[in-house]
Amino acid sequence: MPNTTGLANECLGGTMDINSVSNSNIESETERVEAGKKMPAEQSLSHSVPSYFEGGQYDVIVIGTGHAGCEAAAAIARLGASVILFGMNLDTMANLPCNPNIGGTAKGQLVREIDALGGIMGVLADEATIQFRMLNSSKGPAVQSPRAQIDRRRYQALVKAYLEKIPNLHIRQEEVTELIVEPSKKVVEGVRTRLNVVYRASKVIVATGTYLDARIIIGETDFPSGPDNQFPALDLGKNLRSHGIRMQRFKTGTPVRINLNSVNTEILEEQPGDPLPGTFSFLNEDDPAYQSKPMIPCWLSWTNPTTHSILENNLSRSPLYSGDIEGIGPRYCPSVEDKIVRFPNRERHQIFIEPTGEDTSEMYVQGLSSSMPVDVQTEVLHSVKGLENAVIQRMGYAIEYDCFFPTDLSLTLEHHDIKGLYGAGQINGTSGYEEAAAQGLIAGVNAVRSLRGEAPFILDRSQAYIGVLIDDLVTKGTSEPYRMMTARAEYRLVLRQDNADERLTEIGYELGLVDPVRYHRFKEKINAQQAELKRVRGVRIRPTESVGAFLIDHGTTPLKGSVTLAELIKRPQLDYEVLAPFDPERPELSEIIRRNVNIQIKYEGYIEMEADRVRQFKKMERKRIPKDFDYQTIPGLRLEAIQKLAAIKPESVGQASRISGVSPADIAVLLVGLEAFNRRSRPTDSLDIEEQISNE
Amino acid sequence: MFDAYAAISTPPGQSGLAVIRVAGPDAHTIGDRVFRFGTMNIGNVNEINSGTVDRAIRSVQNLAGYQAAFGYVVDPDTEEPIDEAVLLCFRAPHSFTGEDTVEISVHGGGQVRRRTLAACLQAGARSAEPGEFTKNAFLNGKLDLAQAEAVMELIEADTSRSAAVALHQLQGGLSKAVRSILDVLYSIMSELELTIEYPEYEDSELDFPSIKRRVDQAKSELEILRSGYRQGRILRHGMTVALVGPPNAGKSSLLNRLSGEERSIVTDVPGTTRDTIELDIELDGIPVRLIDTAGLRESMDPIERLGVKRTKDTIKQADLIVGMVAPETETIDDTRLWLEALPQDKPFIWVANKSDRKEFADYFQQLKADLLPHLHFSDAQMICHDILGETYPPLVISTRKAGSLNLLKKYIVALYDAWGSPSEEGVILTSERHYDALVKASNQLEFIAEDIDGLPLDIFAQSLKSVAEQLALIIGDKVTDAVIDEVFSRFCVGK
Ligand SMILES: Cc1cc2nc3c(=O)[nH]c(=O)nc-3n(C[C@H](O)[C@H](O)[C@H](O)COP(=O)(O)OP(=O)(O)OC[C@H]3O[C@@H](n4cnc5c(N)ncnc54)[C@H](O)[C@@H]3O)c2cc1C
Ligand SMILES: Nc1nc2c(ncn2[C@@H]2O[C@H](COP(=O)(O)OP(=O)(O)OP(=O)(O)O)[C@@H](O)[C@H]2O)c(=O)[nH]1
Ligand SMILES: [Mg+2]
Repeated sequence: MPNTTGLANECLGGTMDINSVSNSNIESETERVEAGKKMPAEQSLSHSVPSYFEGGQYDVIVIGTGHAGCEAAAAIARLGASVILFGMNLDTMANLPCNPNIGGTAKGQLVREIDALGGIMGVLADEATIQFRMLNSSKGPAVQSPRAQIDRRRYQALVKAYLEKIPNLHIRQEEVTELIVEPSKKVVEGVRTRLNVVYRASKVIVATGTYLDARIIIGETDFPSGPDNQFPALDLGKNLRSHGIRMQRFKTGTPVRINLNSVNTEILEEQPGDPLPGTFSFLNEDDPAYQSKPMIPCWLSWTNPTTHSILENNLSRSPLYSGDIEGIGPRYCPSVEDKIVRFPNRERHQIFIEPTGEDTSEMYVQGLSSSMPVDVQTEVLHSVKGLENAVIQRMGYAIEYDCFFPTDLSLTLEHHDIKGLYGAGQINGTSGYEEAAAQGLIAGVNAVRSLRGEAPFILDRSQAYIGVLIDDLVTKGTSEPYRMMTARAEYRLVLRQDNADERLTEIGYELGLVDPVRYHRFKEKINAQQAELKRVRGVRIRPTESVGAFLIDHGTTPLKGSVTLAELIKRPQLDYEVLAPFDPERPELSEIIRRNVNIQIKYEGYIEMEADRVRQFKKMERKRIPKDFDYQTIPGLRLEAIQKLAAIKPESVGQASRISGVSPADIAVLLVGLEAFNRRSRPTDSLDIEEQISNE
Repeated sequence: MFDAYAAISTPPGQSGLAVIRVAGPDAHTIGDRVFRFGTMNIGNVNEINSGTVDRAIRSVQNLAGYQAAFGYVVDPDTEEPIDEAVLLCFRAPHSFTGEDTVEISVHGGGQVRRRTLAACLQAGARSAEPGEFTKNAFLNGKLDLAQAEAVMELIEADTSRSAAVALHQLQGGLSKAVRSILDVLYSIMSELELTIEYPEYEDSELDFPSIKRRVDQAKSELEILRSGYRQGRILRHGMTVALVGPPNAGKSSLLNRLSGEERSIVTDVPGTTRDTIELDIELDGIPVRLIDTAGLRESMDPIERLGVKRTKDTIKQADLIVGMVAPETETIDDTRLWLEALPQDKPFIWVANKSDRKEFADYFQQLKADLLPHLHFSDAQMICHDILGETYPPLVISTRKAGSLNLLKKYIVALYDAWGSPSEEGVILTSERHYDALVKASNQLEFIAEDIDGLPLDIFAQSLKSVAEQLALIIGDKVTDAVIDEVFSRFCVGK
């Protein structure tokens, strides 16, 4: 693949129409074309209005500078491929159009995983953190999640600067209006932009977020717009449909932003972050610098009966209830008018007033998401304690947009029908920065691997929340914007935020995403941790008098005979730290390692049980289904199952078993049918369909 | 958790021997949990009858492929012997399915084979899916390609049959009962997930006493459901009716009369029937399994005593007990003793036989005057009488007069109708797999309920989820989606 550095903006000449651009003749011609040069064959026509300019050839094109697009571009370039990344406006790269925080339950796990794989979100979020909390710190390690308030502007600047430094990664402010597809083979060839430039690549990642045919609705007013008054992408969606791509319409919303100087914080409850902030990135976890950064608090208030009656009296003016909004919104972020309709008996709803940056007084008012008219939103805001005189800087709004049916994608996020086309981020029916970034990473890696003829990179449900996310999307689809939740993961005890590096860094290193520096730090940590685990399982504690007194003191029973230190750590009343006095040989270790050792010992039994379930699960995941397998050839398979399987195109029997409408009996029949198929295709050896590929 | 699956692999019906097959990586372990080497020792169930040979050596794990062992099957929890058996060991890949396998041959009795299977399930095997042995045999290269389609048809056939059964159950109470337990679990789980997912939400504090109460509630509902399993078995194997009573009461005569065959030896020597005799018959179109038992009495003859022990087992397993008395067989006090010893939760029909004899009238008067006022039968025992609204026992019959048996037949059919046909409250479990799922769920829940105070939240949530998943298998529910739905419909969370 030629890596193009100079970008073409000169006229190619010719009066070719769109169709001829997407003609494979062009491709053979482009082989002769060097970007920035005129096409010799067309020179004679140079006086007529040119139909397009040649923008050059890349390995991968990424449309969208949101979290998905940025993460994808970084991964692609890091794997050594060339990439051009398009955005509508480079001043809003990696924008946080809604809540000014990254992480949170399940989402925090996603960021840790992205980081463990060498992605950018964790490292950069740590630099822009203005408040940090480890959620659920008292509820068991499997459900703990890091969350940080983020300085929005700083985060955007950091991402932009970071990407600008990566070789082979080109950033371009230009609206993509067309996807160029070779019509007979349905293979992607490139894109065309509003400025009439054609960029060529055999892989295109669509990461256009909430921009396709986007419309903002505020009360009786509505207008085409992307989030934060960005230009919407009005042509690309239509063009994608013209290639036969199905789209659905979703909706989301955001609350007002206000000026902190107009808030009466004296009568509000202050919500500080953790006294000792943690980090997302494993690279930063031992660095004390992150623990001493000054942090900015959030403020807590409540709606009240006045708020509710204002909303009730104006319900008829809500576009949600007037039928003006057709998109389907997520249940987990209802607007405030939604809340009072659905939960009429609640006397109050919580409101968090969150900072959006260090250099601004603009505050995000979580809990007042609304698409009510301006006057109603204003009245509602002023009815809240502490916000009586709050000055609005931006109105809340609802936004509707087009997105894919994720079941049209495979586990690599490639579209089933159009080769080389990938989707990542909100375009795939998800919602959330972290979900977007995770998909960007996976789509980026797979685009490059496919280009190079390498095996797909798929994380399964037992390896990562990322695996759960993508498997859910492409196998089950979604009827509302999909948000990650820990409840969606069946192996939550092994998918912890604390061990994301143990699960994924080795894999990231093998892929080429994780650099040697990170890898060696990881190895050192793991070796020290393993050594300590081994030691703790070997050290014996004898039933001396002082041990007995100590145990009784801690509300547990004295020893009858000698036991290992590990056995004592497992007692609910004890842990690794409190037993230090009886463990004189204990080496000097980082807090992180000590915490991990404690978790792994305490949860050993449960983790083992879960590991057992994982082994069972993997058996079915390893039974591969050949690409484009013809389910019609299996006698006895029910019609409904055939249709579902043919549409979703599962890659393994395990994935097939999760499709709704496919029963356990169908799976049994499928197994037998696959085996029969395999024996027919290789008649000499009769065994077996297992272990063809293992993605461990 | 073990990886092995089990089923009765001989076809149902009258055959001398039944084979229970257990296959899978842990089949030999399951074998060791349910099978004891040596002769069955009735009096002393806990003593392993191993003589000088070390028990460790006499283990299924140590058997070679194709090697057989003589011994007996026990209940893995209580060590109570079930029956003498021969265990045949197979080692992968030299078995029907190509996996490690044990085949346990027991005497043909339906109860013995079911109890043996139940013991294997209790020991940790799961019950086999329809066609699973054949399917795995095929997948492991033990059957050739030509057989593939036959296998698929087999699975299909089994599936449609169980679909019909499933439909039947959905109309009955099963799905309703399982759903009601699941609803309780979902409500708890949604609260747990709420505190996990939205720790800052004001209502996300857990109400532990209420959670504990609901865990207990789910636990007891599950137990009730589990006991409904027996009723479901009626659908599959017919209703088991045990004929009990003192020697010479006429039990064998009744069996012969009801079946229209001379199956059981009838003499006027008390204690003629030494062992239980089973017979599958059709009674007015319904399948009934009659079991004739040895007469109930203390006797010195050890063989007869063994028979009496079997009688007691039979009573435990039966769906319905027909207790027979007759003049001149035992004292009224003895009658009272065994009548009172009958299980209070088992349907019971009391019959007084030999009404053709001239002694009968006096005898009947005596029963009414001296015995009846002292007896108390539970509602569960009197269910047949309640259904038909007939008068109080005993029923008067004579095995010599066919017509006198009509009322008895009517009682048996009524019970079958009450249990065997779909009803709103009566929960029927016909599938071993459903039963299996119920038992596993109920065991896990018991474990959780015991540990509830010490369990960290993440483990608690995970354990409840696996209970719910077992139950959801029965009615095809999606646990994750259901819980998430519940979170959002019950709680006002989100920004
Ligand atoms: C109003 C609102 C409320 C939200 N509320 C929540 C919430 O409550 N919770 C939550 O988790 N998430 C919420 N989100 C979602 C979250 O912001 C997105 O999921 C996330 O930002 C998506 O990332 P992305 O990379 O997929 O797309 P985006 O961040 O939307 O980025 C899309 C990018 O594509 C570019 N682009 C689009 N079309 C073209 C084109 N044709 N040519 C060139 N460039 C193009 C845009 O310039 C932009 O850079 C909300 C979003 C909005 C807008
Ligand atoms: N007159 C009369 N005699 C009967 C009747 N039913 C059974 N007998 C006789 O009673 C005797 C005992 O009958 P069985 O059927 O062997 O009794 P059982 O209860 O099986 O006895 P055991 O097997 O010894 O426990 C036989 O001689 C029968 O012929 C009856 O209704 N009327
Ligand atoms: Mg008899």
